[in-house]
Amino acid sequence: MRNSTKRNVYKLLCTITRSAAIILLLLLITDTLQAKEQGSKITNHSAQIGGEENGVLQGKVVDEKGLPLIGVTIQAKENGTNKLKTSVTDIDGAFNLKNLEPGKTYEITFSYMGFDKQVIKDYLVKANAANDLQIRMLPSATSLNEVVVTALGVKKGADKIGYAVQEVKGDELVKARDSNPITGLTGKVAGLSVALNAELLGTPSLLLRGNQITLFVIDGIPVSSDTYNLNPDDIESFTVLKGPAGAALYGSRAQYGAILITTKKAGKDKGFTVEVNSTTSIDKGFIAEPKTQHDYGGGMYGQYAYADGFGGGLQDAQYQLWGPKFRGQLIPQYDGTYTPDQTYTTKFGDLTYTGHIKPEPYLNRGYVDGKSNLDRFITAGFQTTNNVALSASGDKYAMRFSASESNQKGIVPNTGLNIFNFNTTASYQISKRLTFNADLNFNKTYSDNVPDVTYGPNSLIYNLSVWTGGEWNVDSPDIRNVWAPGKVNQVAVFPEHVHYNNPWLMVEDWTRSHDKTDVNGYLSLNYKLDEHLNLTARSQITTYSLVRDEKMPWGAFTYARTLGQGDFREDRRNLFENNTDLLLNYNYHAGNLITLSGLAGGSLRNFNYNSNFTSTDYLVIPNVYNFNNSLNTLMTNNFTSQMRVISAYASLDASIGKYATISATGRIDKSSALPEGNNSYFYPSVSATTVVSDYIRLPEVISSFKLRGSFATVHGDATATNIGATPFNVYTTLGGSTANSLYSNFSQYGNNYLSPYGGPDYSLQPVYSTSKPYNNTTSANSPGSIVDPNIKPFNRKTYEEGFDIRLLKNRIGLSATLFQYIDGPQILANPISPTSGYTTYYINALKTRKTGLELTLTATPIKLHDFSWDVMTNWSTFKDVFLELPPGQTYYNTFFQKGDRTDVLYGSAFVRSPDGQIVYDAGGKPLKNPINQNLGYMNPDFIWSVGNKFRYKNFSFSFQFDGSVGGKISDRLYSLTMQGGANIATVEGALGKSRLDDDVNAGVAAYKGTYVGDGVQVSNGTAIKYDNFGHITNYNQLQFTKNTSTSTVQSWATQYYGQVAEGSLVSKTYAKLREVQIGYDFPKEWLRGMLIKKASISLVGRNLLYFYKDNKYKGIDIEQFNTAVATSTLQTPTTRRYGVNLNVVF
Amino acid sequence: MKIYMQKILLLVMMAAILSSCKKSFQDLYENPNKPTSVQASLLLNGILNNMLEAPGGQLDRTNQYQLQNNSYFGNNQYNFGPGSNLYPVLTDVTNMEKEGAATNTGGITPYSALGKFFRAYFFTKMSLQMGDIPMSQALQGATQLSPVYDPQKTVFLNSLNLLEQANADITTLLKGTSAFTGDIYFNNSLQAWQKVVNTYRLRLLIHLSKKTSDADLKVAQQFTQIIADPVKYPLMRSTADDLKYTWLNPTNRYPLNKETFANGALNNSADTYVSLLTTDKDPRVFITTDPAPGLVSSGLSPTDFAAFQGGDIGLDMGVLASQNGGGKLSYINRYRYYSGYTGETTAIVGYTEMCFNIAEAINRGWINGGPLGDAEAYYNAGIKSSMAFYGIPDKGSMTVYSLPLGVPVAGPYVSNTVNVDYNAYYAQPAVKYAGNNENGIRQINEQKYIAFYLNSGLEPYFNWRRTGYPVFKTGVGTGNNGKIALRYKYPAAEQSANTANYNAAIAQYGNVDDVNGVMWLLK
Repeated sequence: MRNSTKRNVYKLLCTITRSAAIILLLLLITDTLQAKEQGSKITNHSAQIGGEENGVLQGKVVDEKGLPLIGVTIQAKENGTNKLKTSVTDIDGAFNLKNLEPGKTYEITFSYMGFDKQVIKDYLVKANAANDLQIRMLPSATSLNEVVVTALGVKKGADKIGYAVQEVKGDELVKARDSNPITGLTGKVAGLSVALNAELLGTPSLLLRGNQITLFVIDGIPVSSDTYNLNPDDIESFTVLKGPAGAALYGSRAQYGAILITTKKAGKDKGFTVEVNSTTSIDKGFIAEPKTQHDYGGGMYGQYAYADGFGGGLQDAQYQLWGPKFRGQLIPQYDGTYTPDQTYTTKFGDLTYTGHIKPEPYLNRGYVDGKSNLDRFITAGFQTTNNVALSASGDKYAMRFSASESNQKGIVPNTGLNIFNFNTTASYQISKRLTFNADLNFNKTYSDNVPDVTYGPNSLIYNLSVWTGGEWNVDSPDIRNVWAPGKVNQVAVFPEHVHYNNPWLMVEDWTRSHDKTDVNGYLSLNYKLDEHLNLTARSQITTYSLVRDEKMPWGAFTYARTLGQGDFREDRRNLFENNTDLLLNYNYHAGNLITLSGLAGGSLRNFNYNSNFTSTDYLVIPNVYNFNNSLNTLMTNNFTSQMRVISAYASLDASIGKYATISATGRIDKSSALPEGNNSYFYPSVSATTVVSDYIRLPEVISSFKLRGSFATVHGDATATNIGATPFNVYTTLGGSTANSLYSNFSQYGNNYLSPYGGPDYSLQPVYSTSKPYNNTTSANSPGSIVDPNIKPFNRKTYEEGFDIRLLKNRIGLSATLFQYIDGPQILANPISPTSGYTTYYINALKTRKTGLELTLTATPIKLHDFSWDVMTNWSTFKDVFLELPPGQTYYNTFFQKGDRTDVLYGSAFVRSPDGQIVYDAGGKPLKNPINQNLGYMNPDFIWSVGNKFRYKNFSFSFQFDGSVGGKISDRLYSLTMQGGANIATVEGALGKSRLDDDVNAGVAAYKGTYVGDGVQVSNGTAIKYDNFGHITNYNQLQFTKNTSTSTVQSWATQYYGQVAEGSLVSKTYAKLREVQIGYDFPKEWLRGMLIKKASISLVGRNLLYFYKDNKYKGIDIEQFNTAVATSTLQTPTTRRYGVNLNVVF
Repeated sequence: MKIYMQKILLLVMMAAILSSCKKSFQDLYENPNKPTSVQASLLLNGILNNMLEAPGGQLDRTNQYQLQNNSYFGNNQYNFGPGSNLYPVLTDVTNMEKEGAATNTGGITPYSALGKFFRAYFFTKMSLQMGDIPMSQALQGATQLSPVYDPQKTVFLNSLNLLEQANADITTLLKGTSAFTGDIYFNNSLQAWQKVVNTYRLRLLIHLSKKTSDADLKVAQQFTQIIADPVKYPLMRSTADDLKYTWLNPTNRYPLNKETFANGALNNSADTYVSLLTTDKDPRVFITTDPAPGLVSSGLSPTDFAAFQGGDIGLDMGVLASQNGGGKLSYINRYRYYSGYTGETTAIVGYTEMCFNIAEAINRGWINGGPLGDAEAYYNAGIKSSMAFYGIPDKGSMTVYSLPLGVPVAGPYVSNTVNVDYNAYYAQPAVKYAGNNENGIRQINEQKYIAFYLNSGLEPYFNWRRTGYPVFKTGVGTGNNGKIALRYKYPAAEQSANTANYNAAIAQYGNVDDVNGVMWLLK
């Protein structure tokens, strides 16, 4: 019964949408017919209209680019009187002032926040004739905020917006461009933290107020984006809607804010322009690189002798850099002569090793001219980007075509990335009332080989910087030729074959391709019903198809792939999404004081995704990458999902003269990603703003002062923003994770590439997992989760308050925003007692509160005719605490209590004496607390940026510093290199001294090392007692003395840095010289006579300097970990980028 | 032209709007990729896979068969974390029973009978690790999110009951024809499972050796009942009846195999195990262990018991690493475990263990004897069964293999012939059964420990914990303030999600989830 009612309601909605579309169709046909009739009869269109209505002044207001300005106030004051007529421009920038007296003269004033006021004096209103004014307003030079793009692409004056937004011009990102279009936003917006990703095709981490932003809206339309399918050359501006208040109209996908992108359109200048933009840059010189030693080679405990690299020799498999010191002593090595009928002996202390490989002098080979294997393997990266854009405008049309090609050669040999982008956008005024817009963007991002540095034998950093060292040379001909003589394509040459791989094999043979085609676009029709109402129908598609493959050659080894007979995998994904909107804009004036504007509309989102993944289980014939070449049973799986959201929304902006603007929005969604019964939800927002300086006389020093405040709620469904390779798969052979999640990795190694998704995650439907754990027979496992049958959409409430103040004739501007987010009750995957039979219970619970402050300070210290200096500073901070735990719980996730910050890093810690010293055991190793301890906060205390821009005549010079202060992370690279003996610190100081002793005593069975760690030991033999939180409960019974037990460096370092996260805990405080630009605009005089209208050249540099206070941890670029993560991952060294940009407009 | 364009546009829009109305929201909500119910046989298959505790890794260190010499890859410490969470498997059991019932009309089905056994098996397995655990209120999902902890005694009492019922149900089922599928161990034979049920029950009763005076449990009586009535309670008669995991190539390789050979260098044999063998000149050492390479290269024969030297797991790992570096420590026998893909079968519940369990029951006076005879007969049968498992003849010669330093896993292995004589071995005073006294208990449990090598999960550790045999080594290397932990902690989520019951359960250990706490069973 209930179901059928629901179904009926839904059918009704469908019918309404359908009817609306039909009505629109009829309107269009009628209009077209009218237009046709008019076209044939009318010769003087405007005269006709003017003749019908006497005393009417009409026209249009556009901005400097010819785009309509909405909400411009027009006042006509009759000369010599106080009679005032007022109007406001509509969505097309059109205005209509009625009841003017023909024959009289008026003073007409156009005013708009952020624009220079325009006054037309002594305007004579003609009788029985067209009174038409076309006005172009120019932004006031001193203004900080001008017109701002808001949700659904609606432009509003900054004085009418009650929430925080910040805009970045697209051309700022085009010159000093990065390989990723979006990383240029770093430091440009308060509250936005953009972590560059040094990997080719790596997705930058884009955090707004601590949450990943996932919604990109291009010209008012949500677009699926991995950020590589955005072409900076086509971008007019980025607008960052910081809170959900600004984004409430987009629904839950905008819960963490959104990035709105306005694309470039053809200007109103009639004619034809061509713009060429070209950038060439190189990536060279590391700002962060692992610091490794080159005194000791591979092995363990000072021993090493090569037999086969599979463990047949002495520590010749899975070795670390704890091998013998390079002293020229004779040791069997990987390239030694193998003589089956002859034996050689090598002595290490008590041990005599016998093998068939002729020992050779053991010498450093990997460090040549002070450069490690990695230094010499990695080359300069190179990128060229060329864009040509053609614009054409006429009376009734505006079109822009843009083609862009970017080729990037990675710093890792044989890697690269190509992006081809084609964009066409057009608008055509079919009739006076009807405008048609279309946009199509095609993007192809492809590569034959993308490196994967994720920890594992697939990673170059793992191979070159962490686990192997000076015992081999990357440039040596045998390594360079990859294959063992006579075993081409089967056996690779390398000192080890279990976990380490020849780097040339890795980049030339073990390849991962990527080929993604994105197509998105929209068609839109705008029909002007009358001067107040405007109807838009719009349908958009966003779609991608992605094919990735991995070719693993014979001779490559990694986790769970121990046979070394290669593999071939293919990962195909397809996404299709359609959003169709119907919206009505309105604009009314109630008297002279109140203006009402806004929109009402409905939209339908249809989403469709499917993917499949197939892998061989080893290859029969080397180098044949085809599924029918699988040695064992082929593994294959597919995934499909669909989703629909139907929405209705409305907004209202009410301006009360110069006093205030109050805006309200409401949206209702019905989503198929929630169970029936609780799948529709409403979210409102209100905001208010007042420009105090408009109506209160403030001291002269204050140019303007604006206050704003907003409130919004967001609800949402069970969806995921990203998806990995075909989820819900379980291949025991590949050793991947088996969880029923969208991100479960199919294999035990490598990166599970995530692509944009935005569809259902199916988390609220417990399902069985199936696999073939034994002899290819199928088995099933029960779901691990249960779900509250009454589960509801999640909840987020936000409050935001702020002000914008400008001082000293707008020379100084300060914008401040305070925000509070109450998150919850969430759709929480709450860990429950596993004794219930399930580990997770999906319920509506848990509230957290995030509070933060964002400041933007702008200043123009010098402003002369020929010289100017502008400064922009952003600063932001936030913290998130638990406000309400799930019912009945005093702890959440073992450690967290109400009021605790959510980003506490709980990690393994040292046991400490009351005075804070590390407690050692009798073996000279630091003790690890059995319970994880609070090691600090993972989020920084604040982030900051300072940008400076100088202009002298035609030259410009700008630079930006930015960084982050506070926060902790465990440095995994440091931990690994210390445990593995690769770190330079293992050969320095006391450790280095003991390491020499260890080397001399290698193989001495009774040797116990000489390194004495700094700390204490329990001296009275009393056992340390801990409570459930790892606090020591019997300090009063414990006596401590200085640690005197010796240890080998290797076994000490493995415990100190390997077993205890605290051992490699580092600060996240850093600063970077992010970008430097030197530009020159060619003087117009030079270009005169040529076809060129404008030309400029810029020299740019990015990531030039990296400041980190503790040099020993500078091996990683800490910036890349801007999220609340406990441990860093491996990364390709970050390079500096230098480039030149040329921009020519014809 | 204009109209044409508009029409196309509108058609596109209309198509988009209309096409989306076909499926209902509910249709779209459902996950088309995975099942929400499955056949009982598939769940059975999953449950059976979960019975195995694979050798290699931490398990072998806890049992002190192997030790780790490089702390990068692990350690030898008894700083236990949470015990096994087998509740998800028990949920599979519950669901299997439900699905099995749906397809078979009438009360008992093979799935329900086996379900009772699985409940007993998995609950006791967890209780042996952790002590008191939720059982009576467990597995109820959202209807009981905070189950109380049943005393360990209740868990055992209930489980022994379940085993009694499982045996009776199987008897009933065997009278009719009731088929089931999904069995990876016995090819769907209920007869075979019935022997497992009763053999397992003997194991549980032995675990209760400190609770013989308990009036509810009636440990000795139950034992007697089973041994006295082989028709009602069929037991295993040879290792052919074992519940064991057979490794397969390529789908289910033994964890130690020629592709994982390199890991072998990181582990040494522990002298807790090796010295038991070498002291009694036990030929099994030649099969399971390689001689220490440094001892061989310095002149000892690879068949000299003195060449077999396990590491003292109590030593600091750096010290063990030096000893290993000096070639003084043995590795596991690479010929047996690493040279191929399938190693040996891994017993889960086996005949050999049963022999020792019966021997101990006779020794303790629970029963006077069994079909095979007295305690010594069962002690002998156990040792012989273990020798046979390794292919050691009663009398004669056999070829043993070892891998010297510097030789790849492919060989060539060094082969030697050794002469064996069971009677001579058994005649040694240390080996010959000392009678139904504490020494006999020690011998039974030491032999059981040897026979448990790399099988039967944590049973070697549980038996040490119960009897103190064989002597487990401790020291700085085993951590935990020099003590062997006596229990595992509760699952991590208990502390925050089932707080009150968790706190009540750990009250007996001084309000700390203490790995050194002494559970009821051991008191």
